[in-house]
Amino acid sequence: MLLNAFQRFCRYEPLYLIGLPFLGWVLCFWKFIFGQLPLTADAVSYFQHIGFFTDHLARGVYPLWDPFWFDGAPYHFFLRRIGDVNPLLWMIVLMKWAGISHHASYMIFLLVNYFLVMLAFYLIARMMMKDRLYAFLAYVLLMFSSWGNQLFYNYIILIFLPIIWFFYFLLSFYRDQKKGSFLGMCLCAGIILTTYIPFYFIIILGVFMIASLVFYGRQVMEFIKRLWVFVSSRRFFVSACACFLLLSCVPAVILYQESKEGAFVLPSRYGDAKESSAVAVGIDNVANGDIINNGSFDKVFSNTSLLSMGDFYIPYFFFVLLLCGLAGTLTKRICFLFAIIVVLAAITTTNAVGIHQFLYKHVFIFKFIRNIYYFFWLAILPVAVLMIVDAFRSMLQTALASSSKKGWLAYILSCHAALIFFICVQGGFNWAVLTGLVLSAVFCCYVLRHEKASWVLIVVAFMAVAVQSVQVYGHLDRRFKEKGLTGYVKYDYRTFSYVRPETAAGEIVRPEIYYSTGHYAQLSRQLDPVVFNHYLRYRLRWVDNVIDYKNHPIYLKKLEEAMSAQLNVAYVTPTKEAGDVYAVSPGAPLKTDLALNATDQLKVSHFSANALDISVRLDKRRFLVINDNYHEGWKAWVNGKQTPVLRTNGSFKGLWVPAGESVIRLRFLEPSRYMFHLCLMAVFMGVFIYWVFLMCRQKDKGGR
Amino acid sequence: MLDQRIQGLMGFLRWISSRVLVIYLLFIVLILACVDLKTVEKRTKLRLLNGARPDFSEINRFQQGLGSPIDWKPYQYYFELIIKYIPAGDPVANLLLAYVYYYQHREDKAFVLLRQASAFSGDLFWPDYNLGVMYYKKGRYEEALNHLARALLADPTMTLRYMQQSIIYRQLLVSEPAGLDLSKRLSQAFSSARLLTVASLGHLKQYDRMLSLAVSAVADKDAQDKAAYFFFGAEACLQLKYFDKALLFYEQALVLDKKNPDVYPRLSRIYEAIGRREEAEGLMRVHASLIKEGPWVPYDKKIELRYF
Repeated sequence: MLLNAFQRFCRYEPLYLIGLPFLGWVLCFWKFIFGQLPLTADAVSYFQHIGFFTDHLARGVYPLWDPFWFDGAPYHFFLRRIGDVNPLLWMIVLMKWAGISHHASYMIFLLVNYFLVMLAFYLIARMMMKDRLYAFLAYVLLMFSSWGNQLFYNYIILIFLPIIWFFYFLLSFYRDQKKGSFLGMCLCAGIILTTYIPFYFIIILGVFMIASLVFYGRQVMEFIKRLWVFVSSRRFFVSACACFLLLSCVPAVILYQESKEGAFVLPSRYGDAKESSAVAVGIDNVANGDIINNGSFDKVFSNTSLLSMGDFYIPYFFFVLLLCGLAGTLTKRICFLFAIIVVLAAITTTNAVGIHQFLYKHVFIFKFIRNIYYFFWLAILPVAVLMIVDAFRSMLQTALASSSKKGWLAYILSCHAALIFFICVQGGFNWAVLTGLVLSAVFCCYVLRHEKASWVLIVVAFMAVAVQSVQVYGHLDRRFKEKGLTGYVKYDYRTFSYVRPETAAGEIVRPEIYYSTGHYAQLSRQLDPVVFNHYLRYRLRWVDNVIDYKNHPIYLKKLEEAMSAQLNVAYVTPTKEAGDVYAVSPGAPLKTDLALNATDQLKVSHFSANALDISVRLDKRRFLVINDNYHEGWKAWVNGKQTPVLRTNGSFKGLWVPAGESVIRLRFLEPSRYMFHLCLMAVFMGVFIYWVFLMCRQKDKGGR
Repeated sequence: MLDQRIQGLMGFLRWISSRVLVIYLLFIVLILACVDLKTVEKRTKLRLLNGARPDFSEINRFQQGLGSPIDWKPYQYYFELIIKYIPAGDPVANLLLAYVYYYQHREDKAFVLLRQASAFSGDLFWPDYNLGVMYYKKGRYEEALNHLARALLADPTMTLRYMQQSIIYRQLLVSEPAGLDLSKRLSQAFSSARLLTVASLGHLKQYDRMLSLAVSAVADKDAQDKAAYFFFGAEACLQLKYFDKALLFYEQALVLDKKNPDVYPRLSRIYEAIGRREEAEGLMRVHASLIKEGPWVPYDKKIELRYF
């Protein structure tokens, strides 16, 4: 009975070939997953933005404004970064509804993403090499490389998932023109197109298509014919998919328009870019984000115990396969994969090759990619793993066909010896390396002798990869602890705080602004940080004197003095629509009237990302300054009557409130905008459900 | 036979040309032909340097006597890397690596680096200062005196300018509070150098010079550690048998620093010699109680290596 159960288990390939190694990977990173070690670099801000978005979604609010980001900024940019239409994000919302903390739900979300990425990679490898052993080899090599670190270091998992599944569906569709694969392609492309950086995908796809045409021109032509037949026979379905893709482009187009209209700025990213869009990147900034600046390959052989989160690592088994594969027969597929690697590598080295400079100058999309080294993680590494495994397979096929197996065995062992010698010279040799390489030698000898994939081979291959990785990631844990890197800031999104906690004087520094409204960035750069920080402590304040403000050093000096002394004055930038809004009250007190908490005179009755309701009672007409950034999208109603929202004190909001009891309602953007985004999310969810339905039906009919 | 060999060779070449190895060779050729290797090398060095840059707050705290012994390896690696990548040499990198080596008990290397730094730049105060301190600690007072004299001759304005323009100093000072007064720290170090000079003269039994330097320091209104100068002045007077002056110096040293136990027995002996026995006994009682309180670190022993 036990044997039967075991045999049944063995028949279920995904469980032991994919699930168990993944579980091994999870164990390597359990300290990150269980929150004992924090996220770092860009991963922190993505954790926070996804937390902000899903928290609001769970409360039924679609956020388009973030009042916590540098004192208020449009949130659309961040929505495009996280890809708000990604159906997997609903997983976090559902977990939050179930009472699971954001950290736990986000970690589960990351794990699911990584698992799906690796699953797609396994399926691509399997489809390509038509052999589960080599597909498994490629799968574990990529999984235990430092790709896994990227989950806790940056955000590329969010874009890699749709990219890799797109290619899986593309290859499936090439093989068999099914609706499920086509819709899968469209869904993945749609998710990518809604993000602000679909360009990684577009470039990878472009390089893939060019390489396909060069190496497989005839097959591509045949495929186009088959595609035409598919399109002709399913016109409505294809048209619907095309509409879906066009619809997916709308949010990115809106963002592009906003970035050109100056709704926000990205000073550190923009640099010396010559584009009118704020999302553009200066060419020097691109060079800072290229593979030379970020490709930390120096510790691969020397000292993996000093490995940091962003550094490159891959088990040495990879290099064994590489060396052994050198003697493999050169196939068209290996050349094809190699060509993709070379072209992308040339692009990612920016000014060291020159291709990038040409493309930056002449191809629009290159002006919007900063971290160009992500091509390494998104394409170069996965393709290299596929190529190396394929070359190794090619070598084994040659060896198995040869009459002199002993000669090949000697070659394989000498490859191991050469690698061991090289590692010793580099100073990276240790017991885990030795164990891994011994296991790899056992694997190679065994596979040369037995030819067919077996349980033993799979276990040995897994051990050869995992044994070194366990040691390396153990060091990473220790180094992380030693460094004591800090985690993230937790905000209470539900509560409006009248006063922000005071910052210690020693901690006040001019913050480096990644993204904010343009006026805020300017003010932050020009004002004394201590004065500015102290002024921003109080979110709401009443003033009686309203004076006009112009973008000039004299006005800036006056504003700084008023902020420093908390004077009873607000500086308002004139607008045509607002008319005459200035007033001077000679008898008014010298100091401003700060709202320190809810009182009868002023009380915030509703607060969310996009809305603020304030109940007030005044003896006389007064001007309310709201220290949340000004944006043209904000509209205000006082007792139901629309009132102009004025840019106050350089960057913030202000409005006149009449005497007596009033209810002030502030809303960000029109309801139609929210409807559009919600409909788009619903469309994506609908397409996702339909795709699941199609895939299930496809499988029932015997497809894969 | 030859034909067979040629055919064999051709066969082998044909076999080799159909191997995966070919594309790697092609890749190497492509790199050599298309990649600007100098740019790659330059930028890689920069990346390695940036990547190796440690958090300087720990070493700064240690330097100011606020922290416990630290892991020197990241600092050593970083400064070694700088020296490796700047063939022309950077005195500041030498200075800091010497500092690290010294606390790693690799004094020989530290001496070499500091001598190089001193030769590189006469404007910078710190290499000679640290050499002086190190020689003093080793009991080589003649050399200590030479280097301390050189350090004292350095122009403080030039040293400050040097520090402000140095990228390494800028990195070092990032973790320091914004209000850090570098000129004040430099003047403290100058004072320490003068103090060690006085102490070295004492060890070399050049009491006349010791006394004159102590007197000039005492007269200098900006001088710090005046208690120490009074003490060393008194010691010099005692050796020169100027007992009346020694008495005055010791008394003044005591006024400024009552914790120095070394003053009490000496002053007590002078009091006894001039018949002020009760006061002498009183001083000895205080001395005994101070000894019980714990060990006293003499002024010259408190001075450590520094870089700002």
